[in-house]
Amino acid sequence: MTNSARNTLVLSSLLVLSGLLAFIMLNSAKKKLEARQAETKELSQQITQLNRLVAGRDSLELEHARLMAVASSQGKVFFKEDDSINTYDYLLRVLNWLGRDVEYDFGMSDKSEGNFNEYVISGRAGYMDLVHFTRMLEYQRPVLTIEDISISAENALSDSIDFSMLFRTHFKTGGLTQDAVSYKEVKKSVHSYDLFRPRYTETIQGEEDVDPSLVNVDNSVLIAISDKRAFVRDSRGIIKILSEGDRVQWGYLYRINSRDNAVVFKIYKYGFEENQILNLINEN
Amino acid sequence: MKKSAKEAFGIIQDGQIIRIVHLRKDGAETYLLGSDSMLLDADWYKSDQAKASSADADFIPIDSQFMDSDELDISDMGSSESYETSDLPQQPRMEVSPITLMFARFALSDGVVAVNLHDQHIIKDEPGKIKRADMARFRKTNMSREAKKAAAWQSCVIDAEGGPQHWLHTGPNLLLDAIINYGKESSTKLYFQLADANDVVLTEFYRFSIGDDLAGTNLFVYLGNEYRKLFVFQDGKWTQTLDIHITQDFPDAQVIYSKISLAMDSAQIGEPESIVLAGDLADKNLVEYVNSQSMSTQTSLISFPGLVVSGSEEGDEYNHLVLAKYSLAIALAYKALNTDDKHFSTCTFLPTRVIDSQKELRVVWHGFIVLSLIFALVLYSTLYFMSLRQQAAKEDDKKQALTITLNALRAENSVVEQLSAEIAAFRELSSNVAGVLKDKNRWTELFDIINSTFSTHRDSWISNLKKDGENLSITGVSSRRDYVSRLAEGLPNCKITSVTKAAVRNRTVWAFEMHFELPQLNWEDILLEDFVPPDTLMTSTSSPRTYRKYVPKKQVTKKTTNGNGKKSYRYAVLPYIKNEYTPGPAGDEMTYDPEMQEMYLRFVDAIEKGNQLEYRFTGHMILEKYPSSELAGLVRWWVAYRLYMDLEYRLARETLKPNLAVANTYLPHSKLLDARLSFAMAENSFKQKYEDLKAQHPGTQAAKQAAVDQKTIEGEYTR
Repeated sequence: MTNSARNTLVLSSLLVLSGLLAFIMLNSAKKKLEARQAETKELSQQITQLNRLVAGRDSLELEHARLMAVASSQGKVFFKEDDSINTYDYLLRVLNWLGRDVEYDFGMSDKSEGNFNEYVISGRAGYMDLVHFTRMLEYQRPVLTIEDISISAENALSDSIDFSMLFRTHFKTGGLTQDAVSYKEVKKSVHSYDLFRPRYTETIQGEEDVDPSLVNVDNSVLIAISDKRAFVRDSRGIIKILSEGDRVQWGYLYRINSRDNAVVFKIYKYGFEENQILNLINEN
Repeated sequence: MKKSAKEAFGIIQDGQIIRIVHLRKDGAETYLLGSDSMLLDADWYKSDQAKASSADADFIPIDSQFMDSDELDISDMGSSESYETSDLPQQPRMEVSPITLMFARFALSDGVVAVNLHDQHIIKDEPGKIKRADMARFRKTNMSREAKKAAAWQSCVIDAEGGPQHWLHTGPNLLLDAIINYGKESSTKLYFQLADANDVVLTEFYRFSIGDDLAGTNLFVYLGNEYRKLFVFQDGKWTQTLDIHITQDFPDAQVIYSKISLAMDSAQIGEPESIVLAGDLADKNLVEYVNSQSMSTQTSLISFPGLVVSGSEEGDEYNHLVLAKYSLAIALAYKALNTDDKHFSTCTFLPTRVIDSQKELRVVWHGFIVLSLIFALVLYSTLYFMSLRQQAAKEDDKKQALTITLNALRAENSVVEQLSAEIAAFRELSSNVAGVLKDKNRWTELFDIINSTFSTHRDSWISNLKKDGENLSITGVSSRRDYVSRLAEGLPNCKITSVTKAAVRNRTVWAFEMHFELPQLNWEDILLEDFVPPDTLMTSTSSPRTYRKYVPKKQVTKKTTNGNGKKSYRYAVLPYIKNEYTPGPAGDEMTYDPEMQEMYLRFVDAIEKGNQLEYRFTGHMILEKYPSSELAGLVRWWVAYRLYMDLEYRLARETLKPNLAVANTYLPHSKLLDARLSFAMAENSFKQKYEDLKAQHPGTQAAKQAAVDQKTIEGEYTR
């Protein structure tokens, strides 16, 4: 065998050995790489999952901050405990916060259960006072629920109404004492309107508010008409000189009719407009 | 060709004589370690069937250690194949040839071997034709196709007479073959240094031995067994080679001189300066005879500069006489030992196959293919392995980055889970409130609707409102008949029960009765909208992960008055506590716990940044890990303080509560914060708390800050 042939054989053996060694090394390295890739993939999957979980963090933080704000503001809280004294005092606090007075009779219902006590108040008040009182009870921090309200107008002239209200005071362990409950600004507004005040009445409206110095058309007579002026004498004999537009009790002088020797007044005595005419009296 | 060989064997064949010498070079000196010769029955190149005779007795034992043939296994050699070369004599079975015996006396494997060529197989081109094309043409002309194909030729360019000359050796080198066969038979590894033409090696050795200071005409005469030539040197340069035609095997001096003179005359060479004799026929008599024939010519035997003949008992003269016969073999050995010497050329006529067989690491085309494959394999493997390593490194980097991200996400997720839990807890709480309020407290809304509706139809009013089951019932009066239906349209799901004509002072009015539902309300939305207006959430644009802090549109302030002329306060968060009045780490807990120290520094950083989630989270981590440490109290205080500054009063109070239950280093500060919280939450107890703090912990930083707070409240927060 020549040197070259021998050397070729040696080199061939070396080639085989090298190939074997390379295969083992590369296989090992490849397996290690695959293991690392698998670990990386697993980490990526975990990260993807966690990313999905934390994706809503922003909205969650907003929600949390909002709820925390709500919690810290104590928008609605339960009383820690309740009895008639507690509720009675609270009603007075509400009236105090309201700055108005509502007269009512206070009573405790026998329908109290584990988490609430039921109370009845009835009385007389201005309609809007009752509305604001109701608003405070419903929107202030303590959880009170108004179960029923009945309202009835007392008479035809006043806006005072008779009312009765049935409400419940809720309480819960872990709630607050009345001292810990502070005033809350109530943003809920209510349109103001004298709902129960009758607009038309059989009796004269607002008699007490009428200026006695003004001419009472009912008790006066027209004694003369001159140059767009009317001379009216009341029951006391005092003569008043009126021009068109001058105020009288419950109305004003609407027109002087020299041709017919009469004057027309517009009078709002019963809630609606009426024409009242005085004719010139011939005293002779 | 080996560089700087230490030992060399010069082996020559000249006619029927084979001679061998063994030289060792040691520095500037060369030792003759042994020589031998044998006489063949016939010249190998002249008789195919000639048999070698026994070795000549002309053996000179110089160094016995190289002559010892005791270890030579003659029986083994006898079992080997006969010489491949047909020119060599066939030996009977189990017999050892004399030439083998002669070679066996020398340890040929210890040195390099130099052999000569037979003169008749050397063809010389015209001087000067040494171009590649000229040499190829010369070979084509003088060689058969078979010889060319078998690569049985060697070319050399020799600096000979007339200039550079192409010498071509074709045909067998039987001496070389015999030595190779010996090596095979004796399993001896031989290294052939050179095979050279007699003319070349003799002329080169002559100049080597004489030196370069030759002036005039000088002759070098070699008188071998068959090879007999005269070399003419003019001023040290080899100018001519003349054959000396002596027919006798052993001519006397007179004949030899006459033949030399004849050759000189025919070549028209004048009286030479010197004549140097060498070869088998060169002896003392011949020298004396030649000297006697010419007074102006100095004749001598060839000398061997630096050659030490150790162990010889005879004198130098005797040695010169003997060694002159071995001059050609010695010249070859000298050339083999002095390859770097300028006097010796580097060209050799060794066959290519011999040269190749001596190259242990020789690789031919198939070897190169395998080498290429190995290279490719190694290159591919290396590149692939590096690529894998690079990928692995990248994967490591990626994994590291992912791990960091994962840890961050886990931390974030824990915060998210905490947020979710808190939100769920709050929702449960708020759902309780919303559950109680569901379908309740709709009266205010009802009043708003009914007032709005009737206010647009002013000559209408009601006289009674009451609940009739789940619905409401109202009775009222309207001055206009068509108003009744308009009013009913304004109320939720209203039904007109009755409308009757009536009169007030002769004016017609319409009395009506209606039923309608209470309006629907979602108290959950009302609560949220009531306290969290959409524009009160400050959204950071710097980063999506920046914590969103709730900032109310205006602080919850309460103007209190009890109607008795007492002071009222504008309850709010008080200004920051000065650094000198805030609590710091107490004791040496952190000195011996680097991890605690690191966690605390992270917590401080979070507190300074003001990110609520971050400082709560880092604080929570410390409280979890060191629940009973002094540091826990400090962390609770700072978390509560930051929550207080962030208007999270309830959370702040919850966080602070454990600090108020134990008397630790931070109790005064905790009481201070508790008082601040009471003030912010409009609790009347704040005054008492401040007074208690000052009384129970006088002189402390907290007491000093309490005094500052009280002053601030009285000055800036009192109406």
